[in-house]
Amino acid sequence: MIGSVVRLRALLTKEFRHLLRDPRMRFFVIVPPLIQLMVFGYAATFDVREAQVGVVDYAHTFQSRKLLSSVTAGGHFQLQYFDDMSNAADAMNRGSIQAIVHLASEFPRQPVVQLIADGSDSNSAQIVVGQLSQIIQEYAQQANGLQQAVRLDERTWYNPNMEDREHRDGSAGCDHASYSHDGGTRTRDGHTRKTAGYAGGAPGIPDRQNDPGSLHRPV
Amino acid sequence: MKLQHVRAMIRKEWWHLMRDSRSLALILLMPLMLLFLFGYAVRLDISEAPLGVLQEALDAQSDDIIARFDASHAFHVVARFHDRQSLRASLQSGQIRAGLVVPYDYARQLQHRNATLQLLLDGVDANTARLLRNYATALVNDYTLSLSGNSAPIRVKDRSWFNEGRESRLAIVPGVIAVVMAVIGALITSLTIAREIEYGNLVMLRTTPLTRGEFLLGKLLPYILIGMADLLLAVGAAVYIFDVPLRGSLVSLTLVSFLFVLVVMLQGSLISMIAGNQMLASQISLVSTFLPAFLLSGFIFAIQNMPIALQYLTYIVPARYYVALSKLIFLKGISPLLVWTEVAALLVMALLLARVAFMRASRLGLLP
Repeated sequence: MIGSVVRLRALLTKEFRHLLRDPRMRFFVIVPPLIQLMVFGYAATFDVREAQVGVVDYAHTFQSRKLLSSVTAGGHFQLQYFDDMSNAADAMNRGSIQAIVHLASEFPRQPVVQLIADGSDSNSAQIVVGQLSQIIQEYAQQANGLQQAVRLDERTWYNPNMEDREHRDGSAGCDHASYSHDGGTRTRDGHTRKTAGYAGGAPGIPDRQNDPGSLHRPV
Repeated sequence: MKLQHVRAMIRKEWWHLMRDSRSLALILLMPLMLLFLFGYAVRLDISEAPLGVLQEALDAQSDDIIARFDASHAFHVVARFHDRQSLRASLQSGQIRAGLVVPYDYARQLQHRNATLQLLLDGVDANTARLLRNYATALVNDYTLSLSGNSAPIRVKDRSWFNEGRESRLAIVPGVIAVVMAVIGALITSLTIAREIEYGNLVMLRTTPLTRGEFLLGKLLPYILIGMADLLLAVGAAVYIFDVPLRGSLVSLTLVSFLFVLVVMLQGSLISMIAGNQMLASQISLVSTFLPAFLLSGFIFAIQNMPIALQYLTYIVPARYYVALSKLIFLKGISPLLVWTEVAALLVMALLLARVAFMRASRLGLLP
C-alpha cells in the first residue's frame, strides 16, 4: 500500500514536470481556460440589448407617434425611421435592423400594427416580437383606458431578471430586482400587486425574491 | 515559381493524404458528424415545456385557463399539485419548467374583471424562461380578449421574414457549416507542416530546388480541394437532410465558401509553422478556431447583444463574416455583393494571412 503511494507520487511528479516544462504547454494549460471562461461568460448571451427597430410610419399621426414613443420608452429598442417599406426591407436584408414596425396610413382608424422580425436569428426574433407586441398591447390598453381582466403575475425564481449572466455591478437589493432587463415586468398599468399572500418563495433563495413588492414595484 | 515544382509538391501531399486512411476518414466524416451533432443538438425552440399546475378551486373558469395553457404548443401540463410545497419542490428539481397557480377566488376575481394568475418560472435557463414568459403573456392576452368579446384595441400582426416559423434549425444550420469548416479546415492544415518538421522531412525538402512559395502552395492546394468537397457535402446535408432552403445561388455560396476555406487553411498552416509539432498545433488550432467560431461568430449568440468590447473582438474572427454571408445566401437569398464589406473583410484576411505565412515560411530553411 505504502509502496503504491510512493510510486503514484513519483508518477505524479513526473507528469507535472512533463506538463509544466514546456513553456508553450504551460501557457496552454492556464491561459485558454481563463479566456474561455471570460468569453463564454460575456459572449454567450441571449439577452437582447438595444435592438435596432426600423419604423415605417405612413400614418404620421399623433397616435402613431405616441405608440412609437412607448416603444422607445423602455430603453430596449432604438428606432430607425424609413420613408417606405422597400428601404426598410433593404436595411433588414443587410442585417442593420432586427425588426420593422409598420403603421399603415389608416392607422388609428384601422388599429393594425404590422410587426416584421428578422427570422434569420430566430431566437432574437422570438424575443423582439414578444416584447414589442407586449409593449404595443399595453399602450393600446392604456390609451383606451381599459384594464386587463386577467393579469399574469409572473415571477422567475433563481434568476429574477432572467439574465444569462448575473450582473455584479449594480447595487444589490431592491434596486437590482426592480430593474427588469427586458421590459416584461415594466409598468403593467402602474398598479401595485395585491398578491403578496401567495407569492411563495423557494427555501434557500434570497429574500428579495420572496417579496413580491420589490419585484413588481411600479415604475 | 515553377509550376512543375508546385505539381510535384501537390502530388507528394496527395499521396500522404491517400496513404493515411484514418486521417482521410476523419477529414471526410468529421464535418458530417459535427453537422449532425450541432444541427440536432442545438435547438432553441420551446415546445411543450413541462408545466405544473396548482389549481385551488375546481370551477369551470380555472379549468378553462388551464386547458388553454395545455392546448398551446409552448406548454404541456405534466403535473397537478395540491400544495405549494410540492410545486416548489418540483420546480427546484427541474421536473417542471414553469408552475401556474390559479387562486381559489379566481372565478370571483374574473367577475370583477380583475383576476390574477401566478406564473412561476425557472430562471436557471434565462432564455427559456423569457420565451415561456412571452408565450404565457400572449396567451393570457388572447384569453382576456376572448372573454370580453370585443376585439383588441390594436391588433398586432407579426411575421418573421426569412424564417416564418421562427425555427431555430433554419437559423443555426447555415452557421453550423461555418463552425465545422473553420474547425476542420484549420485542424487538418495545422498538422501538415508540423508533421514535416516533426518527422524530419523538412531536411530532405531543403535539398530540393523547392522554394517556400511553391512549398506553401503545394501544401495548401490539396487541402483546399478536400475542404471544398467537405463544404459541398455539408451544404448538401443542410439542404436535403435539415431542409434548410437555399434561396440564393449555389455559385455565390461556393465562391464565398472558397474564400473562407482559404482563410482558415492559411490560418492553419501558419499555426502549423509556429507550433512546430503536431500535438501543440492541433491544440492551438482547436482553441483558436472552435471557440471563436462557436461563440463570437453570431452563429447562436447574436453579435449585437454582446458587450461592446467583445463586439470589436469579433471583427478578427473570420467565421463572423462567413456566418453572416452563409445566412444571407441560405435564408435571405440575396447577393453577397449587397454586403460587400463582409466579402472584402474575408479577402483582406486571406491576403494578410498569405503574406504572414509566406514571411514565416522563410524560417523553414527552404529556398526563398
